[in-house]
Amino acid sequence: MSHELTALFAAGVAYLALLFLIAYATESGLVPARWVRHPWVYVLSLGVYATSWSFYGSVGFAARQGYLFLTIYLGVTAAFLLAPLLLRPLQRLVHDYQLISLADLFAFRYRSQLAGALVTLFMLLGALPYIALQIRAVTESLRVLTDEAAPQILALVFCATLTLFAILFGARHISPREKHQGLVVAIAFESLVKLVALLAVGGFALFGVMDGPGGLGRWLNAHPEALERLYAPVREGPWGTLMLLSFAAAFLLPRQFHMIFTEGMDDRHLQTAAWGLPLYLLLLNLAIPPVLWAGQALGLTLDPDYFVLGVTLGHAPDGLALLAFIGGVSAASAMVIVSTLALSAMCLNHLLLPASYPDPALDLYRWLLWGRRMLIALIIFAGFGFYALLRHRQGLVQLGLISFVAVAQFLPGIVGVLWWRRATRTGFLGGLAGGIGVWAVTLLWPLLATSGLARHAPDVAAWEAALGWDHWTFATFWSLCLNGLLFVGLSLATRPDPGERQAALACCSDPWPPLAGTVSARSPREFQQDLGAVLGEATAGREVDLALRDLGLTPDETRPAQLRRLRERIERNLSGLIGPQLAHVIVSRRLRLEPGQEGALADSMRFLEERLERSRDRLRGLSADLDRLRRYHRRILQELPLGVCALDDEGRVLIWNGVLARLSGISPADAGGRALEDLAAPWGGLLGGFLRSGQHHAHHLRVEVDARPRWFNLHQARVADPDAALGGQVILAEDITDLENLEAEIAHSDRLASIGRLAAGVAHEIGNPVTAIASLAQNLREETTEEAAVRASEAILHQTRRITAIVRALTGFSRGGESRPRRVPLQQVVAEALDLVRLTPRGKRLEILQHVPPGLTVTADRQALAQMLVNLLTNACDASPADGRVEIMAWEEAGQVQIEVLDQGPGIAPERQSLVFEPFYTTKPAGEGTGLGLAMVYRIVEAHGGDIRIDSEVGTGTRFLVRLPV
Amino acid sequence: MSKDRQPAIRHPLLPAVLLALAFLSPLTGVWSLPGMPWYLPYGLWALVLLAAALLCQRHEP
Repeated sequence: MSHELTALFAAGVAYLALLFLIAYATESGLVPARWVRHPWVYVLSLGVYATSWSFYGSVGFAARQGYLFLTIYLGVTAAFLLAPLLLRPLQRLVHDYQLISLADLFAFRYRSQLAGALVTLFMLLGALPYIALQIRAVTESLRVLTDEAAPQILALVFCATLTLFAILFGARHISPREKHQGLVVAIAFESLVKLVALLAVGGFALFGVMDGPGGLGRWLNAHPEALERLYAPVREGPWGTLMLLSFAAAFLLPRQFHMIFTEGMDDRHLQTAAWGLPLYLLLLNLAIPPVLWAGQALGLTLDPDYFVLGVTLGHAPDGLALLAFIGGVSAASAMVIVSTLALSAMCLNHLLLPASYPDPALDLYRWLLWGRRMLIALIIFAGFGFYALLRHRQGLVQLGLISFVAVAQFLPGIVGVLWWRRATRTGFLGGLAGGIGVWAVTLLWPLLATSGLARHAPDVAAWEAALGWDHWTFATFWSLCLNGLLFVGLSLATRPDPGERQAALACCSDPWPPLAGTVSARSPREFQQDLGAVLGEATAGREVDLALRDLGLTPDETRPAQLRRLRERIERNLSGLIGPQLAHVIVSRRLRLEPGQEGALADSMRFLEERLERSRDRLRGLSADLDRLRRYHRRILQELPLGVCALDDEGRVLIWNGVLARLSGISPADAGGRALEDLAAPWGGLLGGFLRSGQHHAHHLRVEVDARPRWFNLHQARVADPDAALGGQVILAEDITDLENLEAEIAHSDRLASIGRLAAGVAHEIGNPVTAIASLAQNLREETTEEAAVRASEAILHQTRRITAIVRALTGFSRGGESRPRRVPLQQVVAEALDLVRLTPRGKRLEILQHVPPGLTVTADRQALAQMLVNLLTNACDASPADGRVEIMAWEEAGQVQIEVLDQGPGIAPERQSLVFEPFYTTKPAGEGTGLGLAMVYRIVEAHGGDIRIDSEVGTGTRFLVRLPV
Repeated sequence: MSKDRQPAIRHPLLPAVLLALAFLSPLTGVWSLPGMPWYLPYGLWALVLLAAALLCQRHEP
């Protein structure tokens, strides 16, 4: 092996190492997520379509068949332009039902493990020669550049590297829910390298060999036959046939299906890909004619398949040949990696698992992961075996097109998946077998014969000559013709079973219809036990938890309708792991649906809503108007400022609107399908009791919600339906808590005002006699020397001082509402209040902290404000223990001054909090308080347009929060 | 009424019809006549893609 060959091969391996690095950096989060999830990364990853056939073979194709080479990309363009009709529905199916390959799709639609196995085998048969072709393209490119045959060990190293990459970055997870971002970014990078390499070679061909567009024009004028050789096949060749084949290959080839659907990270990216991928292919193919003509102008004698490398030999800039070689390696490696990943998933789900299902004692996830990794290695080395066996050098295009005709055989099956509900399993299998038969006779057998692997190939060329058809049209027409006829004929001759009918309904743009019956397992725990016998305890537990999480259900769920949904979800999740048919069989057997209970109306409504949501884009005219009206009515129900709860005839919740969800904290999803009595307290009792009472209206119902009282008016009515399909009851819940609170406040204020007036009168009437009594008592004390009389007069004076204090308090309370507000510096008023409070015996002992910023002002009557603060602080001091601490703080927030007074007292019980502002209510011992302090605070705050709130916890302390306007 | 996003492309078949018109006979017989510039099929292809990209843009109705 020469030094040059070794160096070139080392460059190829270094390039593959770079791919490892890119994939690793992406998986490690070193590449920003916005780049990884960018639509153009997805578009470029779909560039895996362009293999070494496109990179090298297009020039050879153009040399032999002129512009026919463009059909291989125009068909893809057609498929992607039809994305809204063709690819979007497939994408929906793949994501909704967790299907990871074409074999999964057909096994799901036709409810047949055989269908999956047949598709897998056929895909393998078509793909292995194609993988061999990629390996050969790499070794041939080495031969072209070094003029030396590459030893097989190099091909083996190439295969081993790709195997390692595919295992490390393409089989990290077994579930389709977890995407292989590293793989996607690496494949996108490969597409970019291919494009840059091919455009660089094309640019050199145009400017370096042909002297620019002018030189090319002159060369074409001198060689008009060169241009005619490109255009003539367009008029005479199998243009339409090849477009049809590439149309099918665009989304049915294993690697295409894998990148479009299985690894797609965002469904919306398909919209960009609809024109982005064709644009990429257009740019990729721009270089082909200049490279072809440059090769002819240079008089290259090598196979035109390798002109991309040939034109770089000689006078090309340094590195261009290496870049072209790397481009070829990237084209081949991307195809091998992605095809192998797709095929390994198919083989695992449809060949290996049905043939040898693992013991439940084993870890299923681990078994699947390692099974898939083993299959990856097997497939790549099987491709290497083909490469070694195919002695005869078939053209790159020849092998590629044979694969294309193979995948086109799935087109009738796709029609059955997307549009024709009447298609049956028998029709699909019969059609596919017929198509495969014709394909094998007309294409595979002759290929094997020319490669020395088979004998006595039929003389297909004579048949083609008899009809005057070309090779590809002949094979495509007859294989698809027989396939289609058998598909339609056998489908019409047989009847689909219920499973097929249901799958057909799900595939043809409708979500899965709700199932009737009761699941044999009555709780998620029983689900786990029943599935554990097949999946293993740990796997079953994890799958049940996953499905519960997907649906937002809890492990104590027992509603029959929700358990049916759980069963359906588990089947879908398992489908992503072990294939749809095996998942269906396991779930059907272990979680049986017992007949008897019809599907709940709530389920039917959900199903109907989902169908309408999915079909929105397709609604036109009157249907679209009706749908808009439906959405409008629904929104009215949702946003109505009343709680709305609709029930079916069995008393199960159908509608639970947004207001009710906010009030109750029970989401519509959680309430849906439940009987009212099963709702969390107090709602089950409140609504259920009202429903049973048979009353039409109930007023002022008091309910404790989150330890606070709320009041409701409830109304109910019967929903009469002439068709008896959607009957039931509707309950309206009107939250009147605010109104109740307002009424209570008004009553409180009125009561205070009355007491204030009374207090003023009493104070006036009592004040004068008390003053007289006090004067007389004082005279008596001064005029007598009798000890008993002196003590009696002092007692009288003491009692009159008490009466005077009460009278003063009453007078203050009666004037509490009067205020002359102006801007007052709060810190100053607080300081004054603190000075007064510190004069009291308790105030002297306690630690009183103040946090009032200077400059904070409030619009208030200074005297009233000081009185309010003194009352609050005195109250706090009285409540606090001897070694306690009282804090007062203030700040400005949202245009209001907030004043907070905190104590470390015993706290106020919730039921007594509403009483503390009542006049004459006190918890102090008799004779120690008038019960007017906080009532006065309330009056002052109210008179200033503010409000006061208590936040207290028994045993911890109390916080009074006063808000006053700035 | 709702103002949800809807695809501007009312007829998803339109770009594909444009492609078929440009690249299926009888029009292929016209643009492949002798004397046509070599880049003509690429130009037609690019025009179809431009139309598709414009039609695929989404908008607020």
